[in-house]
This record gives sequence, structure tokens and C-alpha cells, in this order.
Amino acid sequence: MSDFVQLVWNEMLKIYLRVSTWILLIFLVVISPTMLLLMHMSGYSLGAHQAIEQSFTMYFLVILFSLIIASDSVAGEFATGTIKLLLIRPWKRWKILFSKFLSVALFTLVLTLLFLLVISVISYMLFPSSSSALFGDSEGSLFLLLLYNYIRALLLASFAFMLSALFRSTALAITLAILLYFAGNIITPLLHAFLQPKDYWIVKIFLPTNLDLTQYMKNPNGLFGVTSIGWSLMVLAVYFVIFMLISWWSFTKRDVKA
Amino acid sequence: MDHSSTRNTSGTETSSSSSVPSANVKSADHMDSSPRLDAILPAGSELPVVQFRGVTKKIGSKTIIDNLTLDVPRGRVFGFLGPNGSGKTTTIRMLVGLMSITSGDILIEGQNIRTHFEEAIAKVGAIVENPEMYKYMSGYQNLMQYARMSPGVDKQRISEVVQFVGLGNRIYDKVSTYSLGMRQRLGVAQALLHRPRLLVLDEPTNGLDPQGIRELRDYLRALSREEGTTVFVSSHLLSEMELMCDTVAVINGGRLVDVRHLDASTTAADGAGVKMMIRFETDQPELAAQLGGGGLVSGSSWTIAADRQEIARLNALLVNNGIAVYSITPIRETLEDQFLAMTREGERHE
Repeated sequence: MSDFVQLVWNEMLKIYLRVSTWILLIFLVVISPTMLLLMHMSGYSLGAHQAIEQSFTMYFLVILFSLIIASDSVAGEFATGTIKLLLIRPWKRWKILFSKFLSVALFTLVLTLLFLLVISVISYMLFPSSSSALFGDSEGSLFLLLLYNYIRALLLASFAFMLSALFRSTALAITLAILLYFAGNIITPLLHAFLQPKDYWIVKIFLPTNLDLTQYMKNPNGLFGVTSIGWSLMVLAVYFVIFMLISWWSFTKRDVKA
Repeated sequence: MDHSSTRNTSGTETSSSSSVPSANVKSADHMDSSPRLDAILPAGSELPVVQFRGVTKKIGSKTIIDNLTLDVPRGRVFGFLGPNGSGKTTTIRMLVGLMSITSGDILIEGQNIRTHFEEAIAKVGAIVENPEMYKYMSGYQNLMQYARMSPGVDKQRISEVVQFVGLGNRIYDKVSTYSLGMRQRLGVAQALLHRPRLLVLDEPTNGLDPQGIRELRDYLRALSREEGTTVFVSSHLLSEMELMCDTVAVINGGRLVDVRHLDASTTAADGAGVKMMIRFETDQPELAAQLGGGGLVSGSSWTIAADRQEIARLNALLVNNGIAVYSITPIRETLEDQFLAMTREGERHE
């Protein structure tokens, strides 16, 4: 039996051999630093480290691009019909699905690291005043910021991946995934403003309110004061497992009619 | 050569009559491993490459395939013929594991596609409908994708296959620049990479020009003859099947209607004692009909039923009576006529 790594390599090639992927990467490199440029032009005096932290506002680009790739991962093969040649290889379907998910998770990681690289370089170029070393005092906080954002991107990507496997339509998967992402961003502050404390059980299990783990960097009890980092991680894990189960069922149990 | 060594190494033999009736389908589950087949089944004939055993496919309340039992013998080009919507593609999708089987079993080289998917499918190369490839990759990159997924396929094997289908240097071009004929060749190449024992092609001539069809036919013949590969090919084109296949199974409305050996049916018609329609083209067809004792006259031709001996006798009779005979043509009932008759019958039953 050939190596599972080969399967993941195949899936990575399917992502990186496309022109459209490189357009996304170029976009990310060009647009991520816009925030830094604006701050620089309006004469903010920041340390490079602060500038990097501020730049994470632009992380939504990484999430968006991850959603695009995740949505296409399974559905794209159904749209082009290549799924038929893929599934008649001596590999069980769940292994092929797993290799696809790994390629998506790795792509999100690549985007995240590229993002970090770009904003770090630009931050040090535009705000050289700071004498602190790159990961000086707040090395831990920057790492956490990166990790929390990556977890959020990964969870949204796994949601898009599930939709991709479930509906076998790239367009539908992208639309619904982006909808969840933006609706979540809008609903969370609304809930914060209007929800009565007796109804806070909703935010404890609601996905969008648990997605942003950076809330615990400001307050260990979270935005609503009723959750904790451990709680949110557990909720996210449950959602992740549900997404994976639905993906698995859609991909392995259903007939291929494409 | 290859073919016969294949038989010996497989070592598993069964008789074609061993197909399990649909009532016993459940029990077939635990007798799908070849060692056990070896032990239980009588020697004397070899294991069919594919065994369909009471295969049924239902989608909702609709029965798409109804209790299909069929053996595909080794080393043949086996045609699977039926009009559109008869269940050919569904059967092929079940065969390669793209669709689930509602009841019954499909065994490939004795391995059950449901319970031993990886083992069974490793012996199969297939194109299901159109050969859809990753268009943004080159032909070679596409082949590498599949090479990585099958054990024992190296670069040497890839160039062998590329040479066999005659793609040459175009293999390094993006698939998006390929013509349909070239995509078909690439499709054949990906199906052959891992040296499958069984090649499954679903409507392979769809959209191909006559040259492409001829090339494909030549590949299939070469494969079956030189490598002993069994080819299972579906089509609704009868003329194609006649040229390509040794054996044809006819399916209609999800049911197996007939299985026939093409070479046998045509040679039997040439044998003595078998009457067929013979058309004599002459200058005096009416006189010929009078002398020959009946028959049908139209234009310059006279048609009558006769066997081999009678043809010679009639010809001598005409010539001796001063009638010029320009040509003598047997009118064979083509597979097409038989096929249409069979499928019409199938419809009446429903």
C-alpha cells in the first residue's frame, strides 16, 4: 500500500498548481499590510511589535482565502467529474477525505505564516523606532494571538469543508461559510448589547461567540464573563467533531453520480 | 504468453455455473475470499474476472438494476450493451465502487468490492463516462497523481503507458489544451498505469471522431491479446460493439436480456445446413426467381433463403440458363436487428 503522505502531497499539488491559488497568495501579500501603511501615513508612533498585533485585524483575509480553498476541496472534484477517477484508486474514501482535510489545514497554516511574515517585515520597515527584539517581552502573547487566530480559521475552514462535502457545490459552500463568518462577527456584538444575562447559556454554546479565542487575552472570563478558554476550546472541539462526522458521512456513504 | 501465465499464477478456478442465485445472496458475503473459493469450487474452468451475483440497485422505490447475475470471462473484450437509461452506467458505477449495491455482490478476481474494496479495486482500471482530468495540470502531472496512489507504478511505467497510447511530447502540455481524442488517450493511460487485470470503460467512444474510435478499438484489441487484460466496455452503439467485442451482454430496463458470443453467431451462420437470405444481382431477376423457385425480386436483385450448398447449386443453375450473375451477397441479420428485437421485447414486458 503506498504511502498516505503521497495522498496529502497529491492534494497539495491540486491546490498549488492552480493559477487562482497564486492570485490569492499575491492578494494576501499585497493587501495585508494596508492597515500598517494607513497607520504609518497618519503618523502613529508605534513599536514594531504593537504594529504586528494591530495588523491582525487584517487576518480576515487568511480566513476568507482558506474558506475559498476549503469550499472547493471536495465540491470542485464533483463539479469537474475528477472525483470518479479519484475514488477508484485502492484507497478507502475516508483516507482520501482525510488527505483533503489535511491539505486544507496546511494551506490555512501556510497562509497564516505568510501573513505573519509579511506584516512582520512591513512593521519593522515602517516602525523601526522600537528597540525591542522581534519576539521580545510579549513573545508569548504574539504566539497566542497567532494560535487563536489559526484555530478560528481552521474551524471555519472545517465548516466550509463540511459544506463542500455535503452539498458538492463550491458556490453554495463558499456562500454559506462566508455567511456564517460575517454573520457571527455581526451577531456577537449584538448579543453583547441586547442579550439578558439570564439567557447567557446561548452564548456558551453558540459557535460564533466561542470562535474568537483572543477575547480571553483581555478577560479570562470572555466577552460575556460566563465562559473560559477551556470551555470555548471544548465547544469548538465538539463543533469540529460534528463537522468532521458530517463530512465523513457525506463523502463515504453517498453514491457518486457526478 | 502473458495471458496463460496469468491463469497459472492466479491459481483460482471456478465454473461459470457457480454464480449464486439471488435467494442466497446473503450467504455469498462470507465466501468471497479466493482461498476459500479454491477449496470449494470444482476445478476445470477458471475464475471469471468479474462475477455479478444477484446485483440489485434501488434508488428510492425505483429499481434501477434488477437482480443482475453475470460472469465476465478472462481475457475477453466483453461488451455491455443497452439503450440509454437501461442501467449500464449504474452497473459500472457499482462495479468500481462509486455507487453502493442495494443487494447482491460484485466480485472482482474473487474479491468483494463491498467488503474488500481496496483489494478489489486495485485490479481495476476504469474510465467512467468522460475521462475528466485536472485541466490545470499537464498530462504527465495528471498521471503522476494516479501513480502516487497505486503501488509499484514508477516513471518507467508511466513512459511505457504514454508510449502505448501515443501521446508523445504532448504529455507535458496542460490538459486544457488537449483535444477530446487526446483526453481519451490520457484516460486510457491513467486506467492502464497500475497494470489492471480488468479495464472498465463506460461509453468510451462518445464524442470521438472515427479515427479516435478506431485507435481506441486497436488499443483494446492489443491489450486483450498481448497483456491478457479483460476489457469490460459499455455502449449503446451496436456497430461499435460488433467490431470491438468477443462477447456481448445486452441489458434493458435494468435486466439482463441476453449474453451472446459474437464470433460464434457469425460462424454458425456460415455453416452448412443453416439457411440465410442470399441476394443474387443478375440481369434477369424475374427469370432467376422462376428457375430458383420463388424468392423476392426487387430491381436487378433476387433474394432467396438458402444454405451454403444451395447457393452454389442456384448459381450454377442461373449461369447454365444464360443469366449473368454479377454478385452474390448473404444478408446477415445484424446484431443491431437482434438487439432492437430484444430491447423491444424487454419494453413489452414492462
